[in-house]
Amino acid sequence: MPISEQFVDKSITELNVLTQLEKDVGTTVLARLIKLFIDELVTMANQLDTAISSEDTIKIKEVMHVLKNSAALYGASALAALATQLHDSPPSTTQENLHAALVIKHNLDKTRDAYQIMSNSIAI
Amino acid sequence: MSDIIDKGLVYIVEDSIASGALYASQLEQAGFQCKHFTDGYSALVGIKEKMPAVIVQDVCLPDISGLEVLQFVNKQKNPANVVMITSNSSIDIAVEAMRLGGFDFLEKPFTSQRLISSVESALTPKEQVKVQPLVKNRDKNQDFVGESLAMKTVFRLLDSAARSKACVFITGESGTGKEVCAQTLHDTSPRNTGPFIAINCAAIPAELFESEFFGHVKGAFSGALSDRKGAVEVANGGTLFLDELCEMELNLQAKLLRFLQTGIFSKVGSSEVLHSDVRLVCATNRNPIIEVAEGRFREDLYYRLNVIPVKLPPLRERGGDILLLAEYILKQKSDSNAKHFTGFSDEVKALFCNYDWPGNIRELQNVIENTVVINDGDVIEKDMLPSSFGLGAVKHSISAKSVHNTNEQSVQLSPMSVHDIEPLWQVEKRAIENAIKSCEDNIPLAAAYLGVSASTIYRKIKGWS
Repeated sequence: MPISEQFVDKSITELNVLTQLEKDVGTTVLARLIKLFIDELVTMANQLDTAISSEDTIKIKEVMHVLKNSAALYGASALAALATQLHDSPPSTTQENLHAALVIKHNLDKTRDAYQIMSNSIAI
Repeated sequence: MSDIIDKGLVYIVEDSIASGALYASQLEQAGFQCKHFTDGYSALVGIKEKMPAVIVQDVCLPDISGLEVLQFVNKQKNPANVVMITSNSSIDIAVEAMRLGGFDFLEKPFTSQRLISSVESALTPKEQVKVQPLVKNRDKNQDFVGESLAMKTVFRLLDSAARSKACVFITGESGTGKEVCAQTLHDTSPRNTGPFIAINCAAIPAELFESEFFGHVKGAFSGALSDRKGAVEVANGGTLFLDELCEMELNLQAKLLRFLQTGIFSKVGSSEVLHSDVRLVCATNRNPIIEVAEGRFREDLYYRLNVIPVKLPPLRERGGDILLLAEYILKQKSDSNAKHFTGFSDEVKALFCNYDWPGNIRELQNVIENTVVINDGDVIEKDMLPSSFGLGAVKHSISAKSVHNTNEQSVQLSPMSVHDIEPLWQVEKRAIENAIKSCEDNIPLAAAYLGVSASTIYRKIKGWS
């Protein structure tokens, strides 16, 4: 595994998922894919910011749809679980929805930072 | 890279860049060439320019529905096989996609192995698939004849289902021909050169279920004297038919679900992960929705299996097929018993048409075979029929229908003004709430009585709030 455990925040990342990905695609491709995932997290964070500001719950749901699957694929299971919950069972009021989206945005930023640390540490 | 054989071009239509890139990387490692589209319209343009060998398609896209892309593909010359990707919340769309001609669906999250296996299965171009149209009179499937409207519907459904790998769930009373139906489906599918393995879940002792399914290794349990392949492994590349599916124990249902989701399994007593590519056909004579409602069958497994439901009608509802089948069976039994019967008397024909046939086609076969073996002559007369044959029975469906009609007539709908008309959602809401109340808040049971799935009820309740 190209990522040393000291660089992995286990509250954010399931290391065995990344280990399996490395077996599937190899270290070089995995490094490239993690960068793509980080870029996607940045895009989703910007879209989520805009959606929260404009109180657009439909856009929030669209972001959750993308996040819940890609986060799970890349081992960001805590973020995946939150995004799944907000996507599949959104709160009934707009305010509660926006509050939940803010929580996820915070989690998303943490996840992005954690994956950036891992990406920087990958030994190819 | 130059050593890797090019297995074909795969288009991946997935709005997440990171997810699509991952799928592409996994498939490229397996020898495929991949192109990734992040929305439906660009995929349509790509498909128009060059049709790939396989399309891996998300059902939910930002611009158009995945079903529209599927329908577009199927209208093209030499259409590719389409593997749909779905999440748990959109599985009903995936099921619809199968009915529209999708090849297979994968529920997220899925492993690399599952993705590769599905794409490899989908490689056979549609125009090379030798799908034989269902021939009504086939020596192999002698009972699968029918000209009634009910059976024509079944034949049409099976013709569509034959091309796909999607799971088929056959329901119907005992003796209606579920195994024959499954065999016919296999024979007309691209898998007809592979094995057809039938398992009767009611006939296997509970303690041997897992071993029958997944096999075992030597020493796995007392009596396991050597390694044994299970039905799942033996059926690799072919069709696995699970009859009396609702008899399966809950813990084995969980393992079956895992196999369906991942394509991988382990033999009893072994940790080695094995892979098998089977097309699953299931059957039961119970009502699966009631079994789910009463907790004997897993809801998630039911929805995973019930992709293409086929309901075989009871013989009493097949009209002219009763005599069609009777004549066909009479010829078969006469030939095999060296007898010379050529038909039935008018009295026997009338008896057959008015009889309830609780045992369906199996009972018809038994009655005719019994008569042929014991008697001689050219025409089957009434006094030749077995004494146990229900000579006084009339069709229950007719008398039941009369009762039902009487009940309907007794509920007179009084004329109402336009001011009395309620919005449909309110009528529906009241019906659902009353059903839930009557079932003591048991929503799955209420759903079963209402004739809908439990997830439909949950969705409607969420929609009201």
